[in-house]
Amino acid sequence: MIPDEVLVEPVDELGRRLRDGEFTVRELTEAYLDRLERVGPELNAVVTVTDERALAAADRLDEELEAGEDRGPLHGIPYGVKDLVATEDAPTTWGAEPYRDQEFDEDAAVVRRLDEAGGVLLGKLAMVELAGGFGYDSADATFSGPGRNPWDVEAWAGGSSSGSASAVAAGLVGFAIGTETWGSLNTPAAFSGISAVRPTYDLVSRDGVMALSWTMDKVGPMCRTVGGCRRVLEAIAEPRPADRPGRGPPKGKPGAPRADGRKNGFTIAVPEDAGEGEQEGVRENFERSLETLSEFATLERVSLPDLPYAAMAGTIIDAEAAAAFETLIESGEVHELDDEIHQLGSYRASTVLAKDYVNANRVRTKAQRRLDELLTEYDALVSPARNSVANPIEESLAEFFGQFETPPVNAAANVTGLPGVTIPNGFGERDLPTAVEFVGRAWEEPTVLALACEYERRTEHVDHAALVEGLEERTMHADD
Amino acid sequence: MTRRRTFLALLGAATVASATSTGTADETDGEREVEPTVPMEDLEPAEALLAYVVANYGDRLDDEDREVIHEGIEGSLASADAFREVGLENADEPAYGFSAYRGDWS
Repeated sequence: MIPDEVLVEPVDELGRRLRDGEFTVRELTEAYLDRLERVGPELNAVVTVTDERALAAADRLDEELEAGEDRGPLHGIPYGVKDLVATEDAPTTWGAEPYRDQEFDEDAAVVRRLDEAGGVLLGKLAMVELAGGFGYDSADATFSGPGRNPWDVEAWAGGSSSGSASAVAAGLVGFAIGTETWGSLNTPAAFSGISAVRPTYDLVSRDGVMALSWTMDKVGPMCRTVGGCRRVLEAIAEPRPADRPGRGPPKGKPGAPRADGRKNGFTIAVPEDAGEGEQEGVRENFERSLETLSEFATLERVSLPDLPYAAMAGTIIDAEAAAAFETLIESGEVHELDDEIHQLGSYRASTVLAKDYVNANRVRTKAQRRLDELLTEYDALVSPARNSVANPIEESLAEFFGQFETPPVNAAANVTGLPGVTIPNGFGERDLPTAVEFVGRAWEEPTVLALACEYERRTEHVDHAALVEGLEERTMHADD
Repeated sequence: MTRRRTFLALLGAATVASATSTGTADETDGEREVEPTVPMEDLEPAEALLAYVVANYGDRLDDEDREVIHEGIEGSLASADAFREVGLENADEPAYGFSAYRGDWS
């Protein structure tokens, strides 16, 4: 059996080992299936394992490699999907009790693309019920049990893509697919010490993915490295016309001279209020990240346009979610959800006035234009991904996170559909991971990813192999 | 000035409404017992929206639930106030569009 320490290696390294013949796709798949079975339950990371499908795919992909057919960087790499991504041969539960037996006839578009790229689907990963759309106050807002953080099982893995994050961090999958409506990629990635990409709105197809908020939902990769995220995004992104942004090389290169006279290859905006209201460890790590970034980029302090981003995001999500789940609410089955605050939030959401929803979208237009105008001058904007480390798993989310000011960047980026890359930048309080998020202009993923990869190259903040070594001892403590 | 009503007063309005329509109000000595009502013009916006929730789903919600929902509705309405403070003009369009459809051009 392949050692666990190999299972936490980056996607490209796994691919290299496959092509060097160190192991077969089948052996790699069996190793991940074994680890999913051993460790997954302790983290409440897994809903359904699709072992028959996985092994059949593995055998087929091994035959292809032997015949000289190579589908690319993801050929033979096993992965998991958040359990709101439809798969034809396993239930798609949306993390919610009323939908535990829900089945769909075909795979979501993102799964079809990953199959074409040679990925091996291992299973469906745990999540907060209905992606937490009506607002929840507990890590246990799901039928699969609270998502436990691999770094400390008494801490939350983050949500709503809880299982995707913990499975990646703990080496249960080669990579995972998560989603973000407002924070659900960035938060679990930050709390679990992995990288994630929230693509530009609609860059990745939402076909076959649970709709929480049609104009806010995005599908994105979660990997142990930004490099891995870039590989996965290349496979799952919808093709863009050649004359549209997002094609071609990134705008800036480290060290390259710029036509506008700035010294370094990248120019990064730093919000004026970044560094305020955070936990001390988050602030210290963010300052250190800025020092690293200044080695290859010019940093400039900026003010975000003063607009009610959180109000917009909340109103839009409420109205769209209330429509998306109207049947659930009307039938009363909403009271089968695990979190009571979540249940009651559905009624609040049902009272959003039409004109308030429209007005939220009118202010949204202003936000899009003003943010794009600001970001035109920069390759990305950087801020702490979250203002704290993960909460203790039993603690009320409102009480814990209410202690810290929430940076507006994540609300602003989500409501305007802008891409973001979350990458670990160290450890903070209670020895839990912290992270930064880079946000770019719409469809400027190549530039933002290049910048994040350069930052990653200069830093080694997370040793996932050390996590694997210590995980079994930590998960045994959770049973005490 | 509009007086703030308690949830019990609001409950009274909803109770009377359902009693009137279903004829199931408690009777004492042959006379119908009527809860105190809240005139609609005295309802604050959040209370009015809560009344909608209660009218539709009240049988599932206890007093504590209604308090939580009321607080949430107040938050929603505060968000709406924030949009008005931005200053929207007639020409400011929402960030979504409708377009005509023609099958052979799609």
